[in-house]
Amino acid sequence: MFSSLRAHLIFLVLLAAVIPVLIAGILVTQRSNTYLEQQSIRALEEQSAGLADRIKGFFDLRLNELELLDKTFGFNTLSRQDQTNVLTSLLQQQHYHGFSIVEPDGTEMLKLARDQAYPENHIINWSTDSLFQQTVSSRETQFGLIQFDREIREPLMTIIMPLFNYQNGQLDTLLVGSIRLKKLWEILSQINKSRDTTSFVTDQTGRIVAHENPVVAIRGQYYDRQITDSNSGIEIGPEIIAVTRSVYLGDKQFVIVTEKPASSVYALSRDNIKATLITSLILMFFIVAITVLQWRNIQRPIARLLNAIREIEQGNFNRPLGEAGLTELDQLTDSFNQMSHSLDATMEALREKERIAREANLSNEAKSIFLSNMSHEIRTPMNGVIGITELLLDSKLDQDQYGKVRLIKQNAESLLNLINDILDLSKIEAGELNFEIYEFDLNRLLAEIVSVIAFSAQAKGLELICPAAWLDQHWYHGDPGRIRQVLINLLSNAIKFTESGEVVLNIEIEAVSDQQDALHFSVTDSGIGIEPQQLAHLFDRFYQADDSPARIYGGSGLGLAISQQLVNLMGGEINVQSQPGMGSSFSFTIQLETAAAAENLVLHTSELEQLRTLAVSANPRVLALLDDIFGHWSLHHQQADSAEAAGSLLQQGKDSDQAFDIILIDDGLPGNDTLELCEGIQQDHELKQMHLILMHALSQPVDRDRLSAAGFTALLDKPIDQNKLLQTLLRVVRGETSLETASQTDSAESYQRFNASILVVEDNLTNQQVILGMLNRLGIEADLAQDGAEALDKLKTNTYDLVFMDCQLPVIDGYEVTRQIRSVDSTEINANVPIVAMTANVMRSDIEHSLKVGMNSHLGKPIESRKLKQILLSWLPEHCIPDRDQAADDDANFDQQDQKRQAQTFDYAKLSQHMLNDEHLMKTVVSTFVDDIPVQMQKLRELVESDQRNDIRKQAHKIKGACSNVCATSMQQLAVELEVNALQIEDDQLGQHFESLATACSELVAELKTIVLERV
Amino acid sequence: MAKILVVDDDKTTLEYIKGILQKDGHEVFLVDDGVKVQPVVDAYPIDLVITDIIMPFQEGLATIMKLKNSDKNIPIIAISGESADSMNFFDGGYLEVAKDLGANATLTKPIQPLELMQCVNKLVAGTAVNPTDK
Repeated sequence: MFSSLRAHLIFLVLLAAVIPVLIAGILVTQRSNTYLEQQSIRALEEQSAGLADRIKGFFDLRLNELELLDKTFGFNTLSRQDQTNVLTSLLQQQHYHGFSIVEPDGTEMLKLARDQAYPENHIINWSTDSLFQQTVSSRETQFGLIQFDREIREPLMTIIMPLFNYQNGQLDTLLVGSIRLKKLWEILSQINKSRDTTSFVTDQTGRIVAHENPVVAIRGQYYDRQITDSNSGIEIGPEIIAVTRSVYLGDKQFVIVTEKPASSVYALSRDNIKATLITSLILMFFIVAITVLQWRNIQRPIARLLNAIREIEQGNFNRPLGEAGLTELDQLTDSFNQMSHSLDATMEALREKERIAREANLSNEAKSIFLSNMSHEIRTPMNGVIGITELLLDSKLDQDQYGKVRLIKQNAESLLNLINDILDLSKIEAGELNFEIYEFDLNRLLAEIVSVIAFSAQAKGLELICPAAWLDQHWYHGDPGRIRQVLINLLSNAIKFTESGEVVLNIEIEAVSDQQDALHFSVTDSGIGIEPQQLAHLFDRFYQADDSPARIYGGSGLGLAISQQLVNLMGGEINVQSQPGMGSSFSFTIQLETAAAAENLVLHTSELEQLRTLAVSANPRVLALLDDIFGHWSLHHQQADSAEAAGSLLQQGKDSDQAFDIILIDDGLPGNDTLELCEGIQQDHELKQMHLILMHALSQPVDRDRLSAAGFTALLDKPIDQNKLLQTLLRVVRGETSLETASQTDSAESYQRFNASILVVEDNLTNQQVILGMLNRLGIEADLAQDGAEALDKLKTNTYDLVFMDCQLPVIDGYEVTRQIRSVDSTEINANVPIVAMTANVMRSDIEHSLKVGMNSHLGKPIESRKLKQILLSWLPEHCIPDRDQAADDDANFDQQDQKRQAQTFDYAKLSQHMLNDEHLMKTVVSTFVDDIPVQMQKLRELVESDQRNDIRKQAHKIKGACSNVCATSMQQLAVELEVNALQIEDDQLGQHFESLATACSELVAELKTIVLERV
Repeated sequence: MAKILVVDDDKTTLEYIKGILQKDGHEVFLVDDGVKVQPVVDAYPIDLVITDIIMPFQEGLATIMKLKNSDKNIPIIAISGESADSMNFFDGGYLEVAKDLGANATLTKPIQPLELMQCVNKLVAGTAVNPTDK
């Protein structure tokens, strides 16, 4: 009700002041009322007693008068004339109205009236009058009833007095007198005149017989209150206080009523109440005034406290308050000061804690950033190391060098794997491992897997068969990266623990429903196997089958744990079967949703149908796989498990005039069988026309000259991939192939030049320059299309081997251009050209989208030359011309240029990216910056000149923010330094700081103007 | 499309954020100080406020406090420069305070455009449309 303390206080004070006054007033009033009542009653009683005396006296006087008349004069002895004279003189007193002298028989002898004599006929007979009869019988004077005489309009009372004969005591005559009561009225009005009382007289019936107001008496009104029999009575009514007193005349009772209106009784007390009220009002006013005045004294320090609390709210602690001047408030102020002081300390501690927490957070963040960077920071150089060692291994090395380089590579790979494992496991454990689900080609996935592990298997002399049977084209929705990870882990484990023999990946696909396939993967090796008691712990973290193998084979021991978790997350489970000494088999099944093929691989196997092939391998699985594949292609094929068998089959073929067109020879034939077989073929001129393809383990150094001399026309990398096999066979049949190009390795890191026709669709000038420059360095003069329309035009007229397509193009975007190229009724001559999407968004959804519209690959921005080369290698392997030294030099130059570019005042590439490659936005923001920054610098200059350190800091902060928008790295850095140091550095240093910032600013503005704003 | 109010005393930042947000089709209002926020918020159905922290008259924290105390529940993104040193309450620390005061998200300068777009679109979800390409 009273929200403010002030209102509350005033209310309370008023309550405290007014209630006692009121109570006292009421008490006093009540007491005084009682007193006044008593006083009044006493006064009224006195008055009525006086009145009664006077009335009694009046009638006594009349009685005496008449008795005296009788006794003194012997009235009935007087002559009629004398009697008349005496009575006439009595009438003159005004107390009587008239007299009659009546005989005891009731005959009226004489009748006298005041001022007139009754005529004869007015003589009446009294014998029937009850009062007369009473007087006659009692022989005593009687007072009669009061009667109102209408003629004179006065109340009259009859008195009848018997007159006796002196001698015989006989009733002689009776004197009847009429007493005028009007005289009593005069008495009443005299008594009441000076007072506020009313007195009147009633008879015993209550009829008012005398009243100061004659009208009341004349009307003969009845007094409405109970007439008591007792001598006197008191009645206190709400309006009136009345006192009654009875007067007896003979047996007649008269009641004298003296009244006083209550209002007049309590008038004094009303005055008292009025006085009390006024006094309390005045009192209240003073109290309120004093309270308000005093309130100010209290409120001021409270307000100060309030302000101080608000200050604290806003973070200003330690604001000591002065004395309030009131003891309690002083205590409060003291406590407050102490509190704010301790709050300050607490906050300080809190801030300190917060800082520590933030630092911890930062370091935690840094850790995770570090972890995620590891992939990039460590993998990149590791990939480099591995790639280069691969190159080295591929070159002419002596045995010693070869062994050492191989060691380098192995170590590098295990290091990389370890890093990857730790990263993965930490992600899985943090629940942050996300599956990136998109459409993928199972065959391509397997080819990738093979390319990763083939080398290590073959380096150990193992036969890697992957997959072990023909595989139809299958597209699925899933995360190929994770499947690949699991398979690579299982395969590399198999390779690791197998000293000789083979590692086989088997895939069986079973349709579960229209949309779902169950994929059974199994990896079987002929390795050392696992002891039964060790099987249980196989998937534990940091566990390896045995201490000794761990030492022998190395590895983190995380791989199986990760694989198991990944498979679990994909809804499967890895099972192991193993016999020590015989080998192990790891298998798992996952269900994947089938997807429509994003690209249809058309197999032009018709060209091959009439071919007769012979495969020579000592490994039955290799032969079985080839049998399976050739069976699908409907080739005439035969197999030989040794050089001798091959020789005889060749002979048979020659003899039956069904010569083989192609012979595939495994380089894994025992001893020198391979070369001997080749030599045999070379020496036979009938067999010379036959194409020789060497199935070649990647790990073996290739001496191309020797192979060429041995008559080989093509190399086929092992393990056998059905697509690669098809390409190789087609090339061989078409005669397009040379040994060099066919033996293209998968190494991504080698330096190459390309001879290809490429179209770049890009609207952003920087990006154009970057990608064109990079392609140029790779020997490619690419065509450029500025937008979608231009791209479509160029694709209509020129044939391209590859298109790089920016996805965010004005008017027609990259997706739409691709859709048009790929549309079913497209008449484009480049309808099937591989298209590589270029986007700054490396979100999975974007890549998915680009694949959906028919793009084949994705290149993230900023474009890295390494990735660009990878793309070219994977899409244009046949266009590659190795040109190592030159490329290496170019690379170095390019890197230097890159460095130079970054040393500029701003980073154009970064800026462009920051502006989402939007030239218009870039120009808008840069021109705002160029306009505004001199103003801001001028402000800063003024602040520096007036040495307002805190404001300098703020302004530097602002400039820093502005610089960050235009990626002005160097100026931003200077602004940061100024911001951080503004409070501490010396004046001259401040000046220097500012000058260098100003210099950086003018350079920046100049460069932004030329490079960004004045560009067409 | 959403109506977004951007508060920053740096014109370049204002232009930049405006450019980026307009790419997503948002309607962008710009003011250069916290004191000018209330009239805009009163006059237009603003869906989101992006405010800098350090401004000359009314700072971002006060702006956030006032907005959050009003009956309109407008989402707020607080932005500020990178913390130059972690001891400093001046910068990065303020963003934490901003969060405590009710800012729905915070971004550090230099603003990463994609981050900004994502953050904005998340907060105005429902009113946002798919980003246009250019």
